[in-house]
Parts: sequence; C-alpha cells; structure tokens
Amino acid sequence: MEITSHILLILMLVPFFGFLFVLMSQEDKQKKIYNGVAVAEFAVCCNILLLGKLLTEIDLSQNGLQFLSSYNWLEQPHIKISFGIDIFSLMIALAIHLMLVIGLPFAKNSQHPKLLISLSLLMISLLTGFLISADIFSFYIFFTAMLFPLFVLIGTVGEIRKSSWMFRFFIYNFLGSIILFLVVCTLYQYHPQTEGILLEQVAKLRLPRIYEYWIWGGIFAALLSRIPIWPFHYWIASITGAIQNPLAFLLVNLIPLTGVYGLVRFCPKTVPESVSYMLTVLEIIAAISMLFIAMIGLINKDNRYKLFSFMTVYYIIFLLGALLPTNRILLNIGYSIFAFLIIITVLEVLADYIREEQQRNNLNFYGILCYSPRIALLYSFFTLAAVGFPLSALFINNFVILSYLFRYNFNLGLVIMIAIIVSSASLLKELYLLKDNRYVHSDSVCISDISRSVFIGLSSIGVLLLISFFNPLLGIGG
Amino acid sequence: MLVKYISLLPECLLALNIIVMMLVHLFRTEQTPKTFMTISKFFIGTALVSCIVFYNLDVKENWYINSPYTAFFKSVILVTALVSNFFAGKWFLNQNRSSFVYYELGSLILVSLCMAISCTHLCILGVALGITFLVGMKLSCIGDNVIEQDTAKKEQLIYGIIFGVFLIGGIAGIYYQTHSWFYDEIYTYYHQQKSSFYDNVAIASLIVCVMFLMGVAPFHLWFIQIARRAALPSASYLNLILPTAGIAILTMLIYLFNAPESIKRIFLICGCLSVVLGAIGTGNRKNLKQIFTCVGLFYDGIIILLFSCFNEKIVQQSTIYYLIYLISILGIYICLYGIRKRGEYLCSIDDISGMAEVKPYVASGLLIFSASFLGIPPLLGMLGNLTLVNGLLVVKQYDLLIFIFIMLTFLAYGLLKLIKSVYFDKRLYGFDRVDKSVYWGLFINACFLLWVVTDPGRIWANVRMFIGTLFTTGI
Repeated sequence: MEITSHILLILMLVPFFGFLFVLMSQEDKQKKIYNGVAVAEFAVCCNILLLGKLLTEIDLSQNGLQFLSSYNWLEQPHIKISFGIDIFSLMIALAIHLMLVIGLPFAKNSQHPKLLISLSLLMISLLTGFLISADIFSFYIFFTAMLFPLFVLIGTVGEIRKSSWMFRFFIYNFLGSIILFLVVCTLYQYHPQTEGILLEQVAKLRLPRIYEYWIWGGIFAALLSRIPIWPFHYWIASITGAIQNPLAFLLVNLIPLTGVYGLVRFCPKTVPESVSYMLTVLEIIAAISMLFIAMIGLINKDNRYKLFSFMTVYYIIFLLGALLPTNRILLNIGYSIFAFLIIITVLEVLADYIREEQQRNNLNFYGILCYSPRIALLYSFFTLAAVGFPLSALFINNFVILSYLFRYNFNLGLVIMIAIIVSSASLLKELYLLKDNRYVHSDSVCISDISRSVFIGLSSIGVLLLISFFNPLLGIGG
Repeated sequence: MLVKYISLLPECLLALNIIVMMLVHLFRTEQTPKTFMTISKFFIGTALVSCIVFYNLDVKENWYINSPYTAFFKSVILVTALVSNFFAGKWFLNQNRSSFVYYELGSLILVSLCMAISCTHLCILGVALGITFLVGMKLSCIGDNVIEQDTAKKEQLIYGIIFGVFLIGGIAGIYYQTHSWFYDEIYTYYHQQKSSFYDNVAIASLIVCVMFLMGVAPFHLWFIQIARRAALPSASYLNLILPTAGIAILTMLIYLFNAPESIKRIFLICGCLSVVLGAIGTGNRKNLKQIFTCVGLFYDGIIILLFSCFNEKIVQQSTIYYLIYLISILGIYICLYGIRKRGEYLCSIDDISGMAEVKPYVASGLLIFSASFLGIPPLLGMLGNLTLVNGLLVVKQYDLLIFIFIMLTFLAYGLLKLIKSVYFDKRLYGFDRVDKSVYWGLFINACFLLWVVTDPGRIWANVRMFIGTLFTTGI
C-alpha cells in the first residue's frame, strides 16, 4: 500500500507517539529534560519533512482537498472518518509545526517542562488532525478533543491565578463543542444514508428551512465560541493575557485560529440563501470586536495582552477575508497566516526573554533594549514585519486581502483599516518604549543579550520571511 | 429434574458462598481479609460462568424466568461485584480489618438482586427488594464511627419506613387490582384494559420503590448519606450494583405494566430532578465519594428520562448508555482505591490537591474518566452521547436533549473542580505507594475505553445487535 494514502494519518500519529514517549519518560531531579525536548523536536521535524513532501506533491491548480483517505468508523449511523489537505491547511499546519520548533527550546524554563512538552505534542497532534479532517465528524472530534489538554496546559503551565477564568474559558468552549455535536448528529440523522458528510458538502445539503437555521446557526455559534468575539471576548482574553509561559501562550492563541479555520472550511460563502443574513450579522460583530479589542490592546500596558489583541485583530481579518464571496484570496490568507504565525512566535519568544531579564535584574521597562543590539535588531525586525512593513509574505498578502475587503464593502474595509492601525500602533509604541534611550545611561545595568546561536537561529527565520516576501512558496508546489 | 433447575445455579452458588463464608468465620481460626475475598471470588466467578453458560435454560416455572436479558444483567452485576470485591479486599488488607461482614452482606445483596431480576412473582420481587434495601443499609454502616452510628440508625429507620410503605403499598395494590401474584397474569391484565387511577397509584408505588433503591431523586438522600459515611468498598459496591440492578428491574416493570401515561410524568419528574441535583451536586460536594454519587445520580437521571419516552429503541439505547457510564465509574472507583496517605484512603477533594505531581497515572485516570463522563472525544463517553442524541432525535425529544446538554455543562463545572485540585493546586501531602493492581485495573479500563473508540465499527454494531436481541427475545 502506498504511503501517500496514509500520510495524513501518519502526520497525526507522529506527534502523538512523541507525546506518549515524553509522558512516560523519567524526569530528572534538576528538571532538565533535554531528552524530552529532543524527542519533541524530532517528532515535529519528522512532520515538517512529511509536510514538505506533501508540499512538493500538492496540485495548486486543483480546487478542494487532496490526498483524501477514508476509514470506516461506525456502522449505525454510518460514519466514515475522512482526511484531506489543501494548500491552505498545509500552510497553516506547516506554520504551527515551525512555531513549535521555535518555541520548544524555551519549554525548558518552565516549571513543568515534561508536562508542557508532552501536552504541546498532544496539542500539535490534535491540531494536525483538525486541519486535515475532511468530514464533519472527524472535524468535531478534533475540535473538541483539544479542550482537555488545553485546560490542563493552561492550569499547570499557564500559572493562571484565578481558577474561575479557566472554568469559564472551558465551559464557554465546551458549550460550543456541544452545539457542534448536536449539529453533527442532526446532519447524520437527516442524511443517514450518506457515507460520511464532507465539510464542503454541508452547504450543499438540502434541508428544510428550520433545519437550515439550526444547523448554520449552530455552526456559527460553535466556531465563534473559539474566537474572542465581543461580548464574550473577555473569557479568552483574560486567560491568554495571564499565561506566563511563551509556548503555552502560543498554543492557547491557536484556539481562535481553529475557529477561523472552521468557518473557512465550512465554506460559508455558499450557505443557503435563507441563512445568508447570518453572515452579515457575523461581519458586523466581527468588525465591532476587532475595533474593540484593538482599542483595549492600545490602552493596556501588558505586553502579552497587546500581542493577544494584535493576533485577534488579524485572525478576524483573515476570517472576514475568508467569508468574502470569492475563492481567489484563500491562498493569500494561507500565506499570510503562515508568515503571521512565525512572526508572532518569534516576537513572543523575544518578549518573554526581555520580561524575564527585566524581572531578574529588576530593571525599568523603558529603553531596556538600548544596549542589547542583537535582541533589539531582531525585535525591531519582527515588530515591523508584524505591523505590515514589506519584510515578509504578510505585506503583499494582507494588501491583497484588504483590497478585496475594501472592494466588497468599503465601510467594513474602513473599520478594519482603523483596527489594523490601532493594533499596529500598540506594537510600535511598545517597540518605541523598549528603545527609548531617555531613561537609560551608559553606566546603568542592562539585560544580557541573547546568545549568538539563538541570534543566528532567529535571524535565519527572518531571512526566510524576507525570501517569502518575494516568493511565498519558494517555487515549491508548481 | 436437575436439568430443569440448573439455571438456578448462579443463585445457588451465591447462596452457598454465604454459607461457606459463615462456616469459615465460625470454625476457621486463622482468618485474614484475603480469606473471604478468595472465597467470594471463587463463588462469584463460578456463578458468573454458570450464568453465561446456562443463559438460555429456563426453569419453566411461572415464578422464575431465565432469559438472555436476565442472564445479561446478572452477568453485568456479577462482573461489577467481582471487580469491586477484588479492590475492596485490598482495602480491608490495608486497613487490617475483618472483611467477613462486607463479603457476607455483599453476597446476600447479589442473591437477592439476581432473584429480583429473574423472578416473575410479585412476592418474591418484594422480598428480594426488601432484603436488598435492608442489607444495603447494613452494608453502609461499615466504616461508621461510634458518634455517627446513632444518627445513622435514625436515618435508616426513616428511609426504611418510606421504602417499606412504597414496596408493600405497591405490591398489595397491584395484587388487589389484578388478583394475581404472577407476572404473566398481571401482564395480561394491564395490556387488556386501560389502567384505572388505583392501578396507576399501585404501579407508581412499586416503580418509585425501585427508584428509591437506585437512589434516584427525590429519593437520593440515603445514597448521598451512604457515600458520605460509608467506607470506600461499601460506597462503591452500592453505587455500582444497585443502579445496575434497578435499571434491569425497572425495564421489566415498564414492559409488564404497559407504562400508562401518568407514570411517564413520574419518570420525567424524577429524571429531571436527578439530572439537576446530580449536576449541581457534583460541583457543591467536597467528599470524593459523594461527588461520584452525584455523577451517578446525573446519569441515572438521564436513564430515567430516556425511560420516560417509553420507546423500545430508546430503552435499548439507554442500556448501552448506562453500560458506558458503568465502565467509566468503575475506572473512577479504581482510581479512588489508589489514593492513600499513611494507610488512610483519602476522601476529600482537598486531600488530593497536587496529586498529579507524584501520582501521574492515577491523576491521568481521573482526568480520562472525567473526560469520558463529559463525552469528550475520543473517549467512550462520546459514543454514549452519540447514542443518547440519536435516540432522542428519533423520538423528536428536542427539549429533553437541550436540557440534558445544558446540565452537562454544570456537571463539567463540578468535574473541572476535581481536575483543578488534582492538577493545578499545590500539593499538601505525600501519598502512599499505589498498589500495582490499581495500575493494572486503570490500564485495562483505559485501554478498553480507547480501543472501543479507535475501532468501534465491529464492536459497536455487535453490542447494538446484542442488546437488541436481548430485548426482543428476553423480556
């Protein structure tokens, strides 16, 4: 049997076995589990190679999911688990894996390194499963399965002080999962003869009006429960803003992405006419949310919250772009998310390093980067790339997405533009304060700069991003 | 003649178990907790085997029936008792206490429950239920301290009177209306004519009595009290065995009485109350045994709610749903047997704070089984929820469905508190070494939980077909 037919399953299983391995490994007394990190890096790198193989074989001219493979799962109701991938999900999967490669070495600093590494691998396995799921049932399984590892991750590694935040966060997401479960069961009940309902088929199913309301309303509600949409943004924001570990922060911030990805996958641009007004409502809520969150990010002093608000604003832009009645910019969104996730990862890793150094040396936040040239250079580069300077694939692709958004609805485009400016301003303000030399003298204590190896590693990521500005796929994929 | 009565072998073996244990208690000088565990293991094991082997042999008397349905439920009860007794033995060994009373009473409950499931005579049912209740009360006293014994006696008297009134009232009422003790004649009576008000009162009284035994709300208080007061073996034994037998008996009674409309309301009210109280109670309790009794109350409530539909398919699916729950709760009790500090079994949620740090496998067990309760994929609980939703969608009970899932979020809150304590809170105490059998028990249970979900196609289809056959041929 050809390995390509099971490659998607292997993609999911490799990190899962890594998770089992790390979970059962012995933790030494000094809590230096370099072995665990090495196993995790190995598992993730294996997956990156597999994703690279898929990237070389994927046909960009073909619409829809490729490398489809199905597995019979249940007889009554007849449920087939199907996996498939397209360039959009492939780019996101690749970005998530690269994110983990960058973030994993910093797991050693955590109080619970073993748990963090094992849960990160489990999350990656589940996220990969989520990204490659092609039918509604497997989509639901991975959508919900992430909840418990995430909850444990937040509670143990995140060091959240208020447990009520965690409970609300879980229950809010759990409610979303329940709604999706009921929707999935309703669909199977209504189409029992179907051999697994593919995600793209949902919009084409003929249902009575009342069912359409319930199913599409349910899908929107379930997926929006993952995105910090106003007025429920607080539960997610409070959690992500309080997480102390950079890897945990990044993993938790992938949750809104699952909501965005889900909405893209269900292809709401082809929703039945009777429920199309829901899309308008969704757009209005999304626009309000992004403006609201961008404002909070600007006035909030916490660096993590600023990054969270910046990420949320961009996620919502990607969501609104994906909701446009065209398929043309889907690839741009994929490229953009790819660059965006890598930039955010590096920024968070650097920000965490700065925070730790600042706390250790008891320094003032202002001008902290003045005498640390390496970290200052990297931080500036990635901040400028994040806010949209022509330094990565983010620039050109966001430009395309925004131009389409303006063309579709000028007012909406304007609101989005304001939100981008505000959230970018909050990041630039942060950078300015970090490099403000009015508060620093040459004889004052400074933070130690990052090591040369870390500098070279992170710089090479910068170079990769710079190349992606000119050619996002580096000639791979046809 | 002997062949005719060979299907009574499980009951006979269980009765023999009681006699042998009594003789050993009287005449053997060297007794350890393990002695009675071994005896009961042997007799329950052989009873289980005989139950499975002679599943289709009937006595052909009109007071007793042995069908695949009764054999299946008796087997489930015996397997649960076997597992429960095995871990209880470890408990008595660790506590260095005599296990005679526990195993003796446990076996007595098993005999009476097997009789209650198989009998087709109202008097035998009444006697069996009565014995079960009284012995259950006595069993719950194991582990009582002297101060609590007086209060317990008063409570037990009250519960006993209420139970007795319902039981005697129900049986007498049914006999008065039908003029028969036998199920076949009662079946004919209720299926040939519309039941009157007095009929309904009598049926309701008997059904409520069974619900009382199961600890379904509003008769759940005695169960909650047992969970608080009783030792871990008694609490787990009663929590696992009584509801299982209750469901088997209740299903028979529904078929027997042709379930009039007014009874539906009783099921609906009791089910809703149990779900609400179970879900809220899980979050409000501190005692681990009580927390899982509340979880049990929640799931019993769902079963009762499903029964309220009085649809054959739904009743079948509720059995599957219950079996899934049973596997998870069994796993939870195995976990509880692994939580000890200086020889003492810990029962408070505060006692297990930070346990994940030193006992990661037991903590993982609690996490996995809790997730299974909530139906989080890819665990077995998800298949349970799938069965539940499919069943309720077929009969268009949308309001029930929404109600159950809303309450599930409340249950989630309670279970999250437990996970928070185990995983996120700072460790206060050290924990004793966990017995290897606990790890094995957890491993087998968790593997089963995952295995069924990884490839449910064949297993699931067979289980559904099997349960379907039980109901069509058995009752």
